[in-house]
Amino acid sequence: MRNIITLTGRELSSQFYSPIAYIVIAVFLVVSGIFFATTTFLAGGPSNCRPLFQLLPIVMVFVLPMLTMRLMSEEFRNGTIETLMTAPVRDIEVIVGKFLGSFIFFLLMLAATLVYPFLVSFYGPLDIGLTFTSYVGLILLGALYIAVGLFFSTCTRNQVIAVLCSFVLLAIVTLLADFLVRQIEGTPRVVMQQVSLLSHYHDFARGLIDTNHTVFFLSSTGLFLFLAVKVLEFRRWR
Amino acid sequence: MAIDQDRNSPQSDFSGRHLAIGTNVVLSIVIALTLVVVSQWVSFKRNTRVDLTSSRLNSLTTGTEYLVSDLDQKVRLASLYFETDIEDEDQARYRERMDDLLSLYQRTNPSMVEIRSINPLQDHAKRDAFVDELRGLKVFSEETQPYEALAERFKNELLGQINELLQGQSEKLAGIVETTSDETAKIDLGQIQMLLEDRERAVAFATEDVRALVDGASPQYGVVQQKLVQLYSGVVRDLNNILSYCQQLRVQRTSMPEAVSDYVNSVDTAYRSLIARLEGETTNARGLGGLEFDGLVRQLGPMSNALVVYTDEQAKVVRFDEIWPAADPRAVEAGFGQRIFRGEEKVTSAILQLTVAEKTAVVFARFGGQSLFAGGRPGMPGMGSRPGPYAKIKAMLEDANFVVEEWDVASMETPPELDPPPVRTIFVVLRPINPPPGGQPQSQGGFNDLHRQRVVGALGEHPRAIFVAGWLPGAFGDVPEPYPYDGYLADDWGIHVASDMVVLRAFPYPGKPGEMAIGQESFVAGEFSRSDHAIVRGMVGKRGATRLACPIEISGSRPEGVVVDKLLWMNAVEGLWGVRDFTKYEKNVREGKPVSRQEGDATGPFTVAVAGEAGDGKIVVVSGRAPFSDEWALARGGLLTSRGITTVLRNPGNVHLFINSLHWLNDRTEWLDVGKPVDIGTIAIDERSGSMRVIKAFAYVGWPATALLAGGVVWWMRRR
Repeated sequence: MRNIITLTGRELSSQFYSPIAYIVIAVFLVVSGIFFATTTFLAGGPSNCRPLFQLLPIVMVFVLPMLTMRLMSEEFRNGTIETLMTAPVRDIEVIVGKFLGSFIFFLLMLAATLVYPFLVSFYGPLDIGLTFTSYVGLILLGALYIAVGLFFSTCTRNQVIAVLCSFVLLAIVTLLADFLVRQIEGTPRVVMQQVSLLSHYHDFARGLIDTNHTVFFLSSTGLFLFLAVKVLEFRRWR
Repeated sequence: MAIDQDRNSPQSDFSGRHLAIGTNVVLSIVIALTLVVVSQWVSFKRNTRVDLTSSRLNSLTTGTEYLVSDLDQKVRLASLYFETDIEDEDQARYRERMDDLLSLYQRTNPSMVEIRSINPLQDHAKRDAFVDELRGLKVFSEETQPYEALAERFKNELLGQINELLQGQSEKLAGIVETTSDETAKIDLGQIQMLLEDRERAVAFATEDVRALVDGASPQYGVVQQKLVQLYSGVVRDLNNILSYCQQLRVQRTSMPEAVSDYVNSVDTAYRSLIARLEGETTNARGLGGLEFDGLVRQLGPMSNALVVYTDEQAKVVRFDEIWPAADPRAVEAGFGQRIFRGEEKVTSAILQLTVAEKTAVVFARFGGQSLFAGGRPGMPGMGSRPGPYAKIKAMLEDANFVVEEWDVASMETPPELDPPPVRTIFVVLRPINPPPGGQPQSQGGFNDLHRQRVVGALGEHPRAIFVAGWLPGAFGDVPEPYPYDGYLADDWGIHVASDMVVLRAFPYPGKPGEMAIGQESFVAGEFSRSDHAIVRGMVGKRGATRLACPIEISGSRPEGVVVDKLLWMNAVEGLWGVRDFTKYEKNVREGKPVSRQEGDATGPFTVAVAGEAGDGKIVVVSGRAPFSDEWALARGGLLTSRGITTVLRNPGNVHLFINSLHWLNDRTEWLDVGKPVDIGTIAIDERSGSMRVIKAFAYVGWPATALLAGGVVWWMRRR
């Protein structure tokens, strides 16, 4: 556990050292600010942030892979992985530490968007429950995105390949799957709904907490972290 | 030996270890994947949901949930809310809300409820396939059969007969015209021939149209019917004209060539049978009336925002203006903010109507007067026909799957017969009001024992009824009229309606502390306390009000087996009086002077609604003058919102009490409180205000720049 905390702290510090992180936060806030002003904060519109919360996952598809691309790839490229591997830490601790570092950074980034519901609450009765569930959904979704990004970062020493692979997979299961859900009917639709991340997230943005979606996000995140650990183990023995 | 050597070599060790680790990795990944898939499958099948929205936006009412969970046939909900590339904000909100609602129905019973969304503006193929699917429903396929038969008879029989006659006659005339030397006859017969040829061409065109309409991807039998009526009428008209013309020729032309004469004399025989056949077919076609299916399809226009609820047998369209009525009915173009969402109410109603075949009747028993539902002023020049005082309530009850009728006790001995017979009849017994002295004469006279016996007899041994029992001043304004059903209620139910007393709420006299005054509002009873009875349990936050109420008392010595519960009452507060003789107050009220409670007048609490049960019988007694009429139960009042003044129901509690009483009387307690208005707050800000500009600037630039600046400072400090 101590190792995980140390690695998390190290990862978090390195995020804050990097100017890219601040640029990423600024870009995230610019895009979410535009969405907020154009789709959510409208005179006479419903006093909740649901339109914004429905669009944030799309922003996250682009932003989070940029945060995660360097997690392991950079260690491979700089050769610092050798030091890490010979240190008295287990693979799983490395992966979990890296994951938590990025995840905390993501939470801070997400916390910056709290200002939007706060603004809405000044001009109408804010639906607190809906805001709460939306953030729960975003946090679960963000955790999965980071796990996916970390997995691809573990697979390659090339950051560009890592970011592209993450982006492609996330775009497929987020955007394309959601598009397909709208096009098909019957059982294939039910199956596609189970695959589509937006379908799972959608209920959170509507003010619902559903055990199915919660289990989906948590188990999928766990799976990708597990895969990342296995890849790291495999690399050690190659 | 060589193999052993190979096995013991470092290379072999390395490969073996590689294989073992690889196998281990693959196995563990397979196990992990299996675990993930299984856990997700289990959570999908046995999920739990919690709605955390403050307005319970994602929850269906208990009544709807019961209805949907208990469905014994598939119900399909198809949303035809359109979508465009550059979309109006309101349209997106309407569609989103509808999609959310439909998914709630589906989740409540995934095996019995199917939902689908079709964009009628862009998914033309989907829409056409959907219309075909609807056409195949039992009710529509049965309805179409006579139309199909009509078209078949045309194609297989009548078309041949018409063509045969027209062509045969035309050729025959051509032969005569060619051979005859009589110029006058040539002209006469030429005109007939021209008429026949014109008609032949018209028939050919109409046939092409009919074939296209029948054989197309989406047969339109309603249009075919109209085309055939037009076609047959045209042929009959022309043939009759020829017959008349020939009749004239026979009279006017005394000397005609033999061939011409033969023709003129033969037309009667040649034409009559076809004319008779076509006239019969036209009558038959007209008798079919309009196709219900065509009416349904007409409501599915590309921008109609319709919702279709359908089963294997029938379908019902729920129109946009039913689901999203304007809060102010006078508003011509109401936006999202000015509309009320009645989605659940209407969808549930449609499901009820499609799936619950057995209907309960609600019969309003009135004494004389005008119709409760139909126009109240027929024949008044320039006035049109005003809807009856219970017209909207009737529509609301029909939405809740009741059959609604009225019974004039003064003129009909027994309640109206209903076809098909309802499974149960619930009576709403309105307080009889006698005609004023010197007013319009009532042929039946005033309400008497005979009328009462009619009603009590109709109620039977196990009555299901709502009694509306308000205070009514006497004919001369002094002694109040006794409630005529009080004897029945007291004897059979132990309920006494104190109709000699009106509940009155005096208010503090302005400027004179401790003294009271009476105004018009004093006769309105409201601010009720409610019991935990199923009928009123869900009435929290819904204002109910009634006027001219009299107290209802529950006797301590009720007949055996009778249980009576209080539903609503008014607590004893200062100024709440039960006035027996209003004339004692009248002078002061007229002169605007203070009043004080007279001796003999009661103080609260006063019960205004009770429910009684005795074996299989159930009644509800509500005090007040017409508390469930459109004018009172559906009265609307202005409410100031961020987007101006909108109107809301002033007494929603009355509607709740009425509908829930009916469900309770119908033994459908699980349907209590079906439908609910969902109220979502809105952002109250002027689009052009300075605050709006500041907030937008903050969102676009200010906040991201702050984050960037903070990050820059942290980074710079750590670098140092």
